Amino acid sequence: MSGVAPLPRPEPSASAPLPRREPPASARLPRREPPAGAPLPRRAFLASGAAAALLARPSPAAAQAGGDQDVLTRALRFEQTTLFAYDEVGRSRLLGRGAGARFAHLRAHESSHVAALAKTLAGRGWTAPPPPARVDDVEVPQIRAAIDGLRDRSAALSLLREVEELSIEVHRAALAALREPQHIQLVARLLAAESTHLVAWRAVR
Amino acid sequence: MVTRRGLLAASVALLAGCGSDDAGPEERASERPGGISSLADVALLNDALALERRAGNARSAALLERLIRRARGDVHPLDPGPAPPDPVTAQDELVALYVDYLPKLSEPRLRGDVGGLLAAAAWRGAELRERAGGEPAPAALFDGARPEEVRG
Repeated sequence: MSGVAPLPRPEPSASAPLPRREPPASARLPRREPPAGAPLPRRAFLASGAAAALLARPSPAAAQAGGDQDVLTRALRFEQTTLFAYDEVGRSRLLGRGAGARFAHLRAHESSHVAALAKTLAGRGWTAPPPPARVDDVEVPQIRAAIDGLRDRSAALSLLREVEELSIEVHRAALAALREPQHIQLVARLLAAESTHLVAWRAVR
Repeated sequence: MVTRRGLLAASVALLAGCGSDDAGPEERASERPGGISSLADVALLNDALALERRAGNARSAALLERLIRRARGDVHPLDPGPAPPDPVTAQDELVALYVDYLPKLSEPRLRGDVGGLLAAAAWRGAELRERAGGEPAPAALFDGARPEEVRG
């Protein structure tokens, strides 16, 4: 015995794989797992890594304040990026009429997310970051690349699914970092909505 | 009417000391396993476990059991009450529960884990709505409440 206590076994991480969903009785949707409910495949791992990278980079205004201001500011930046991606897809007209109503519905949700986070920041006297004005302003490399690669309907659907997958990871990380109950509850509702969005886009063929 | 769940949530919030709207951003109560806040977290997790089991979400229930043990707690789910009228409602009730309970959980890492369970419940409800020909994403700020018109 060296006298040194052995290190404790590592606990499961905050992003520990969640349970797979129960098998559906009649699956019309693709047999995919809930994004946060399954062992992460490589693509999802890369996606969550990018989300974590985004979260690790505080905005200049919020860098010193830290805490909820920083986390909410980063959540808003991601929602602004999501809305920008939706608008790029809308401008491209690649989705076609078939998905038009769903696109308008979910784009309105994303706009509400931006407004809710901006209102929360403003209510505390915290400055909201400016939204991306052009593709080069998008901070997440794979979203920027996916916008650049908008060539057909399949690419448009992939982009929308990707931003929703990433937003789930971003908001889940935010839940662990926030302190104030009302902020946690807001982000929880955003997270739940983004999860339903991902199902909605995966159902579109 | 005061429900059993309402009473539990109120007592847990009191125990954890984090349920008031004017709680500041400062550190919460002790987050050590076995501490007061950890006991409160375990009570909330056991409540969620009862609903996950009732909804038939075996894997989510298994993860909750792991989380309870990680917090040095015992798995003792209470009776969740009468079964919901349909599977979509069962998932929406879980969403509502997690949205309500997340701010009351004191351990930050636990909130990340439970956030995953929230996402999974919302996912399952959306899939069921989509299959039934309804709107999978009923609200921009989804808390499990469903307007009548979006029911599948």
